[in-house]
Amino acid sequence: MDQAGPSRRAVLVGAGLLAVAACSTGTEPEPPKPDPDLPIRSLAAAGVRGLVALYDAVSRAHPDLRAELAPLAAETAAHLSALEPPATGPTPSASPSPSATPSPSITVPATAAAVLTALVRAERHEASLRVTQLASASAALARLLAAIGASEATHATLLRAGS
Amino acid sequence: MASPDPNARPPATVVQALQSALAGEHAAIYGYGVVGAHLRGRAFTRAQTAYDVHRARRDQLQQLVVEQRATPVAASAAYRLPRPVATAADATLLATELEERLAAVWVDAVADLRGQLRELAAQVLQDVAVRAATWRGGSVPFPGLSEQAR
Repeated sequence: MDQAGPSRRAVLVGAGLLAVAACSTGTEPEPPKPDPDLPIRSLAAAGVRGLVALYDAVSRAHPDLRAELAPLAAETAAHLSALEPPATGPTPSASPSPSATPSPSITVPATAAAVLTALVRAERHEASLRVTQLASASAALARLLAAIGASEATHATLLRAGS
Repeated sequence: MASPDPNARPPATVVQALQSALAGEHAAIYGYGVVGAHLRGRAFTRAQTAYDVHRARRDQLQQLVVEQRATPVAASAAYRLPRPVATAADATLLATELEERLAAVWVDAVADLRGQLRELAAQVLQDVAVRAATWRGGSVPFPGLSEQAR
């Protein structure tokens, strides 16, 4: 009779295993959900990176404009820093700075007036893109994108006043 | 994270966000009345234009609040100015501060609103930031974001 069914001990051990299994599935860390802001952030960062490259190229081609454009270029660099995810790992210097990458595709106009016009157009274009990019962003990213867009719109106005 | 932390304030409803923006525009309209009284020439014209823009925006916000089946907040009987305004320089500084305060109000509206209203708030923020920069004579990297200000 004792052999007919599982021993009490076996049942208890089995129940314990089940409990352990249930427990382990319950506490197993789920794979991290993809951040829905990430593609929006990347898109905005790519646009700002283009502006940074444009300011860099203009400063190289027109040293006489460098002082005038420096504050705007610095703010654009700050926009990029705010948008780029923080560097992971102990050696952030291992990844190359995006602004250090040469951008041979940028053609800088020959005259200062044409340069300012090109910058106005680029800043205004990016400012309008921010408005659509923030539509589906989280509240936190929407605030940041709205502020960056407002700064870019300001740049366009100041550049136009200086041209 | 490099992004600002907006968690200090709880999210507002659509009506609350619109009412906050409306209250901010009421205050700016009052302030521009003071600003305009101390300016002449081009600066006066600029203040007059800003006054008109803010009045139009107030009207638009009142309409939006009504569409949400709420009663638009009224302007206060009086507003306390940050400091006495006696000169054109005082007036220019006040105008800058009026727009900077509005930038903070509208960036909150961007966070609290969704869809077309959020895009409207972002466009208004751009206009407000441009006006602030014109009075100030320079730009700031993150208009409206106190957490990013340096």
